[in-house]
Amino acid sequence: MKSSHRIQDGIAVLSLEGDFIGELDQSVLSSNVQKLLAGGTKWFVVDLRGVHYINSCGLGSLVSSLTTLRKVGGDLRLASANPGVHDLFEMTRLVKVFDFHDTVEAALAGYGQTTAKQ
Amino acid sequence: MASLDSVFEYVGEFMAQNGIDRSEAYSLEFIVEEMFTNLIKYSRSGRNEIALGLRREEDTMVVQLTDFDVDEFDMTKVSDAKTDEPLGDRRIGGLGVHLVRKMVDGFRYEYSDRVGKIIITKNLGQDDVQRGGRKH
Repeated sequence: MKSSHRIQDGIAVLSLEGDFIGELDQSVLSSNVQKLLAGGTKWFVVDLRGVHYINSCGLGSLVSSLTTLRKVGGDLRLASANPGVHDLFEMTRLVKVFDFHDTVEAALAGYGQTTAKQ
Repeated sequence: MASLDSVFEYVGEFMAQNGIDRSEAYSLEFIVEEMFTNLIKYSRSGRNEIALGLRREEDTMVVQLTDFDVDEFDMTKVSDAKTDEPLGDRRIGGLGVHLVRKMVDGFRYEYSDRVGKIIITKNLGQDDVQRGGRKH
């Protein structure tokens, strides 16, 4: 799985591409989150548009990153998940834990007031 | 993970040969991948190989994974992930088996003479996960 990121208005947009299934993929996410967090960024949008398939390993990794960020007062939102990916979050009730958005822009807009208060 | 690519290739061929709709793709691939990965992760096998069998029996798909020269490990007895717990209390593990249970109609384990088999049945056309699928 590949990743790229950009910072917009203090929020990291992390774009993932490929299948999110193994330990290497987990480290792609976690290392990006840790590196950006160390640089002072604690608000994230993970763009899942390029993720065709995710398994329980990938779900767990996203939960882990979300937990890490919320412990420091930050957050991680998900954008552009395909229906198959979204259904897995439904079945595990993780839809109640994560904020989902149809687009990255909507996820960034949703942060507007939250980050302004910080 | 190179072996997973050949697994998915086999799954794709099976679906095409058996006229199974692509709408079933995501759940079948998920089931096979989760079980295969769990066996690799937790198997104490000395033979380092897992046999995957797929067959269609009328409107039912049967998935069988056979692990050789192993101690007994019944994955069907793994407790369900507690999906109602607060985020900080959630155990990361167990999601895979939890999801497979939700996707299938039958899930059983057989063990004899150091050979373990996971047998999963799924009725076709009643998929909870209907869209998407792994790009091949």
